[in-house]
Amino acid sequence: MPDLIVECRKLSKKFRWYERHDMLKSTIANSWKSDKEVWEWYVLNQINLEIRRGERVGIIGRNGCGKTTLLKLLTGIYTPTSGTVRIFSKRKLALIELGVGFYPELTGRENIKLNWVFNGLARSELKDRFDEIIDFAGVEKFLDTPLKYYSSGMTARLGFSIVAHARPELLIVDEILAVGDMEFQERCYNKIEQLCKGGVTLIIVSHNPADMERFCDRAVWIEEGDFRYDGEVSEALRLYKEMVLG
Amino acid sequence: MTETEYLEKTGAEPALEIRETQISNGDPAFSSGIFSQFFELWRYRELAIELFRTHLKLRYVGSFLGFVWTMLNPLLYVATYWFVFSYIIRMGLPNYPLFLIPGFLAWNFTFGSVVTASESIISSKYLITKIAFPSEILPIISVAVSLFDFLVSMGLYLLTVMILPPALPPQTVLLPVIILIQVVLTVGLALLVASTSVYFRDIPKLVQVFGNLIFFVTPIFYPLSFIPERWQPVLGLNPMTQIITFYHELLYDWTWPDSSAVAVSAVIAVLFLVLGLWVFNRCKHGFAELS
Repeated sequence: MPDLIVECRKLSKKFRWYERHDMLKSTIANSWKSDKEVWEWYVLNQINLEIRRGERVGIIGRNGCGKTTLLKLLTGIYTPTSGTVRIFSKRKLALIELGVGFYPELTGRENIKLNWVFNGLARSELKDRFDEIIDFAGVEKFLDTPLKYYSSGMTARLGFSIVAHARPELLIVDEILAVGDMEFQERCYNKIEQLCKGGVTLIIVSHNPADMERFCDRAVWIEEGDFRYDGEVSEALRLYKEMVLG
Repeated sequence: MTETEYLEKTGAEPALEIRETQISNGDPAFSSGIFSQFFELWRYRELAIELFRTHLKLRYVGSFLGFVWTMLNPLLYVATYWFVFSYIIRMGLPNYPLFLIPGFLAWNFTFGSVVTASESIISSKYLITKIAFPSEILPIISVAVSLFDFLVSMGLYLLTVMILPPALPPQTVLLPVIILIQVVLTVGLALLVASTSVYFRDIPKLVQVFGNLIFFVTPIFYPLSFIPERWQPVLGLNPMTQIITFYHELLYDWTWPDSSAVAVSAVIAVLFLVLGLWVFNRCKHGFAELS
């Protein structure tokens, strides 16, 4: 077997929508009704995915096709409805949204510390990385300022910088780089490229074909909870474009 | 197997392996997963400590008196009850504050924990849907913050009693045991309300209302012996009754509590913890979707 880092077997995720489920009163009232209004659908249906160490996989598909759901399953935020997810890595880091876990009242320094451990990293490692993090984010002057006074760009930079400098082995990136100005985007892209050269395994969601071509050596197209295509980046983009344009 | 090949499964470990076809609600995660759960919590202990510090720090941000409120709040309450039950309704207990304070602080610890825990998961929605971490940490931190207040104020109380005439009873040595039992009970309750309130948003409000109600039927500002004997077993159904009575026995009556009563209390506390964990584990798979 090749050197796998991600293995999903028959992975499914079912979501439910209830008419209204959060009130005790309506729950009791609804328990009398036989035809409860419940919508269920499979966002992902029996998916098999294998990713080898060092692969850089891009995920494409329309809004609501299950891209973020897949990432959240890989990250462990969601529990699968059925099937298995296995990650063979101790250093799995995710950027689902920039600046999550930041507390506006805490200073930049305190937030770096807190965010580091939120990502499941050991505090002892932070010392060596700290300077790189603030250097990349460009916040050295504002380290002892509460985060609420940071601009949104600074906050985003800091969020990205912490994860990017944590030496990920498996990096999961949702569509986060759309925010921020071009300079920030370019800096992030360069950092990701640098990580890729260092052998990181990348799973990235993006709507930008240029990003895909730049980072990925494999693309997965998800449509209606299933994989439509899994393979060459250019071919995946071509098929996807064909479908979208009709 | 090298270090990097270390196997890590995402999410709740046993659930992933077992449930090939099972539907998400009602999985047998608890029985086989309890050890991996503790392992996972241990792995995230630094996060727990850091979050605990953050919560302490943020509590009084922008407040002028800051940490003083931790002491001032129970003091003001105690002063009120002291006034009411010594001068308006005469309780007839000598040194009434010495009777009132320990039980009141202990009650405050459990009630305060449960109230904040009931909101802990709901109010951290943006964390739970975006970062993978063991959500048990949140209600546990609610308890830890309240425990910190309790220990500080209890410590100050004991110090005061030691310096002023009444002196410290020898029974104080047993205090850590009682506190431990109370902590176990409180964590159980906290897990219970934190997880269920994601599904029933009324629970935080119910906790507030029922908590205030239970306060009056728990022997906190009166001793259990004031209650007619035939009603005492009814009050005994409330696990806090026994625990508050221990505080009264140790610190006010200067008597050693019945050892079998302590044992029973400990068992009840552990049962609550197990119940809390069990319910939490059944609920937690829905947190990221429902909250």
